Amino acid sequence: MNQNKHIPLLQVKDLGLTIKNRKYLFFHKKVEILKNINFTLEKGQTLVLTGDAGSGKSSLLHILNNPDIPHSGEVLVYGKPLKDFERRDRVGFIRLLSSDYNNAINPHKRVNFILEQPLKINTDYSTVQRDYRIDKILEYVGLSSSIKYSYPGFLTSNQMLRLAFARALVMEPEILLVDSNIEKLDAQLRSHCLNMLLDCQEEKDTALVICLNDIGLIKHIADNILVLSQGRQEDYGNAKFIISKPEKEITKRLIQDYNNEYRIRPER
Amino acid sequence: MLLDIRNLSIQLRSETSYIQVCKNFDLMINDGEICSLVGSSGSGKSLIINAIMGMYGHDMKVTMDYFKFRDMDLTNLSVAERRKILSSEVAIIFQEARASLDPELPIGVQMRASLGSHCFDDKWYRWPLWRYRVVNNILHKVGIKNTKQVLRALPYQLSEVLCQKIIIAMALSRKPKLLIADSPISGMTSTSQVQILKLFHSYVENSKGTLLYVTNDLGPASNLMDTIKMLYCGQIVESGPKEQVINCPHHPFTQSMINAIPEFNRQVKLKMKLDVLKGDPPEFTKTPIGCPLGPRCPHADRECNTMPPIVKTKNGFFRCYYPLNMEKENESK
Ligand code: SF4
Repeated sequence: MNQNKHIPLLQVKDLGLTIKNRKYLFFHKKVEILKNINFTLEKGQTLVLTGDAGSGKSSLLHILNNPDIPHSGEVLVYGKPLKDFERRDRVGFIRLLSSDYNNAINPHKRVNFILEQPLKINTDYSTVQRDYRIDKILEYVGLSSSIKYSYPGFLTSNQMLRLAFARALVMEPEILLVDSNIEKLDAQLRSHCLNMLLDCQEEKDTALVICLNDIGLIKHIADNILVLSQGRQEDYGNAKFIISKPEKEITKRLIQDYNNEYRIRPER
Repeated sequence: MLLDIRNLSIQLRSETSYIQVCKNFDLMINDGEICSLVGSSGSGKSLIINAIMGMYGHDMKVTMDYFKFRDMDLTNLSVAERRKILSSEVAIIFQEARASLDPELPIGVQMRASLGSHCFDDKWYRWPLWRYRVVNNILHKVGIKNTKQVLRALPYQLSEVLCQKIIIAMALSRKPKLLIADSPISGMTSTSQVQILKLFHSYVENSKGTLLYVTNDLGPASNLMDTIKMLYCGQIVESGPKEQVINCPHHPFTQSMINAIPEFNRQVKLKMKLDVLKGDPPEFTKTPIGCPLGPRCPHADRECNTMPPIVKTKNGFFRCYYPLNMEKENESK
């Protein structure tokens, strides 16, 4: 994978997803979940997916995470289809960060096991190398390495969030996918999570794809924004530009709904 | 005064002893007021609600000096009796929506079942049809369009947000005197958030209800609230009307909650780090001596090793030795 400036890191062309809603034996209804999605993602950039509920944000994220889901169109990484990569390469390349850490981390396994498993499956590292890697990643996210032999149940919410980060970053991915559970975290933890994402982007030049509904947060972290509605791509471009001068109906409505009368604007 | 609770204390049983979760907690809610409890996760918000409603088993010990609901003094009643009285007048929206629905019954059956006879005042022969009508109406108000499908569905077939909306519809359809909402709009899109907040607003304005709004984020609903109580580690650290708390917060914890929202602070540039308190909230087994915020507080000093006293402000109070924004308060006077 040589870095050529003209080839973007991630390119999605004409992506579509259709599922069959089966009823009885012979009848089925075709439902289009996604249609004609096009975007590119450069290194160190942030793309935010937004839209109404049921507009296909998380389906798009799932396809990026697992290209084995049957879909039409192409997902290209450095100009090469993602499907053609070997599984172990691809898995290390794009990682999903589940910010719903309470449900995403297996409570019956020790921290060491949770972090070691992806390395064991996807790399040829020896035990010593794996240990070294785990220690390094724990130090990076700010956990002490003595935590390795405890169960996730002993950790506080802040440490659990860091563990989720560690698990996502163990394989040193170039693209990090973040699901929309980040909005359900409480205000303190959420800003903590955002800070860590920004840190990661700054130091390792990771590209981020995030599902978000909150326009205030989008304004803060996004470079590009992709607005979806009913599985169709409505708006795509620079976030600052689109939010300050929305043109499409749906974007206007989303921004108007966000700036509702129940939100205080402090004069400061 | 609708609800008046004095000196509530909650203890949780552990293997060896009882752990103090909440101490000296006072809560007073006026008629037609929207009162909000704001605190980070793990500060005991949900426990307090459970204690108030009498929803606890033997592993929780609750004592209080005084409990008054409307004109009834419920202080000396047993938990079961208290629950009986409160159940017809108070409705709760729980945090985990799908978990609080029955997984084996269709949504429609559950919604109709929750409409007891005490909500009904009309001729007796209208009773069966009345329930269907009320359920349909309220679902439209919450913003669910295909009511027929939803009413026939089981909870696992619906998304989390839809379940949340159904729980909200269920609670509102009973026309309660007091509605307790535990983070009702977290994780929704802004369109549905506005819809739900409008519904709460009209419920308070038109049907003379009272709302206790429990949340962990000051952002989306701050203008709906009348009074804000900041909760940290089972203790109210600051309380007051919304303008005062948001525009000139005195307690460092309130300030940090406000700083966590990028829009509230004009100085935050694109992609700048947001400032957060370092460390995490203490566990209830290891609460620090003195001010609970102590180890994490950026302004802490030696004095903070003792419990800070309550300092009264114009319409509220705060607990801190080194309050912020005091000049602003003096200017406005
Ligand atoms: S009393 Fe001290 S430690 Fe507590 S919030 Fe105030 S300054 Fe911080």
